[in-house]
Amino acid sequence: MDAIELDGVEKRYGAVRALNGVSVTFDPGTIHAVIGPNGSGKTTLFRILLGLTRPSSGTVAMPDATLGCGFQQPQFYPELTVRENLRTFGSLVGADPEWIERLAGRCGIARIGDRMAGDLSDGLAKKLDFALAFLEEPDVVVLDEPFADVDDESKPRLLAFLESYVTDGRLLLVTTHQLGLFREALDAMTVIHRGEVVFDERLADVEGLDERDLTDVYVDLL
Amino acid sequence: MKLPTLLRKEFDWGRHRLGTVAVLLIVLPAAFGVGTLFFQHTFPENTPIAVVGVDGATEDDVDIVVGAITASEFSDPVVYDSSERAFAHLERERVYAVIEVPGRLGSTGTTSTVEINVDGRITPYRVPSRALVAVLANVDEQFSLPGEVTAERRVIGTTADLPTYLLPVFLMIFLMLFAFTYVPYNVAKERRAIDRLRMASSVDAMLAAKFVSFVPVVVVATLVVYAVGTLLGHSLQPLSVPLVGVYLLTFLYLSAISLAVVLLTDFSTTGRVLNVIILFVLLALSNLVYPAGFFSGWGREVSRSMPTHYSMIIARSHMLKGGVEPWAFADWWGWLGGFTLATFVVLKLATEWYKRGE
Repeated sequence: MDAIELDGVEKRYGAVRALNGVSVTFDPGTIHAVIGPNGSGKTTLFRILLGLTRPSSGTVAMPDATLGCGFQQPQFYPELTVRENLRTFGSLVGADPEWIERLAGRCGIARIGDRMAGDLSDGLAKKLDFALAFLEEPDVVVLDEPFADVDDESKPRLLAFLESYVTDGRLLLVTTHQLGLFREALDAMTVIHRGEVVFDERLADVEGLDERDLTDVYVDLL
Repeated sequence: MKLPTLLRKEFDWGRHRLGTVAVLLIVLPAAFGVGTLFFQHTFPENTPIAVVGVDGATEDDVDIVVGAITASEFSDPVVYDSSERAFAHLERERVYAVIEVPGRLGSTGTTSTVEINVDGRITPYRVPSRALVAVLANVDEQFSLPGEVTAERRVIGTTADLPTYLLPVFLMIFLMLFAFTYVPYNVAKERRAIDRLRMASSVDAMLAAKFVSFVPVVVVATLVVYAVGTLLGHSLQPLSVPLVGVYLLTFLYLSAISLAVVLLTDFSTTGRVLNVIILFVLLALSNLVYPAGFFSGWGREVSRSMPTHYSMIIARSHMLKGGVEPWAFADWWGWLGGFTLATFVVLKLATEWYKRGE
């Protein structure tokens, strides 16, 4: 799989400029964090990558790859059970039923298969949305705040799953406000502030990063 | 005292939803106000009826009858040059009575009989049409004719009582209600998963699935109403493909309109309000129950521009009237088919607009 390349991407909503000339490359085989304050343009960037929003200008070069996504606001049918949601979206993307079973187990939702999705707590809803992102075993996974509302016990387990999932041919893009949790897993980080890229590096290339907390780096940039 | 704070909150809410508030407080009440103009009479002054000369009737003979009807202000006479065409229009509810005027009307030493033909299944006009007998029975005195003129009323086909007459109407109203309330409500629920759905499939596929799943609902609803009508002893024509077909087609074009509104308003509450407004407009202006022109002249013209008006006539004909050929309304079927196609083009454009609008 080739890299995803954005060149001079702009997105305007009327007078508001959500993204302003964003040029960035996302390489396969990496876990790449896109971070920034609330309203900085991260979600807009992800929506453009997913094809849900068209950029006002600029180009997006997407490889021939399958895409999966975990949304900031979980996206599923609240009036179907957890199992029915997995089956419905799994069927739409041609997912392997055995993989769906394993995925449900890895995401901690196997035991709540018969519960109505609309009755789930925020944390469980997030886990279901997380699992739905991986149904197709996609080459590129985009996760928007995947651990928001998720209990502390589950976070390391889900993080381990992410690390095991990303191989050379796969790419994980994640936005999070829990940088400390992701610190060891991240390969690259892009910081967006007011719609512009203010930092875009492979973490291995940043000198002295080991001594500094990643959150401090991010805050200093802003 | 918490009231001022809560009132302030209500004010802020309204300020953020000026569009919805404007529709609810200005557009909707104004539309209801204007809508009263549609109802100008409780007497069928503008209901079209055909006047046709027979048995060597001259233009003068016909003019006498037209003059008498015009003076009475009961219905709106339209002169036809052939009985066949007049009766064909009676069958299609283009007119609600056919007055046959004999030759030498009111001539010296003669007794002329003007025949008033009404359709037995059009209950809301059949009973009031008795007034025409009174109007035309006095033509000789009114126009000082030397001969005698009598009037006879002839009811064509079996007579339908009001419950029988209302059966196809209520089914149509049910489908309109379904198309403009439940269908938008059902599709609006997709919003909770619309982005995931767009990635795994498409909005078009979702809408197609909705239409396919609703078709059996419409068919079953039609069958249930028909079965209830039969159990109640209503005199109904055998269930036919055109009967089910016209309700299905009507449901399809109404649903296409309501779903276009849903998409153009981004699944919002405003869209649901708009759909209810459209429902009220169609119910009020389509003359589903009363004959066209029963309430006003312009109401007649408006109803005749409504597709639901034609759907209703076709449905009523196939449910209540015997001997209606499947191709009897071929021209209207073509028109409704074209309209349905147009609504689906609009729905497609609304879908594209929704996808671009994000």
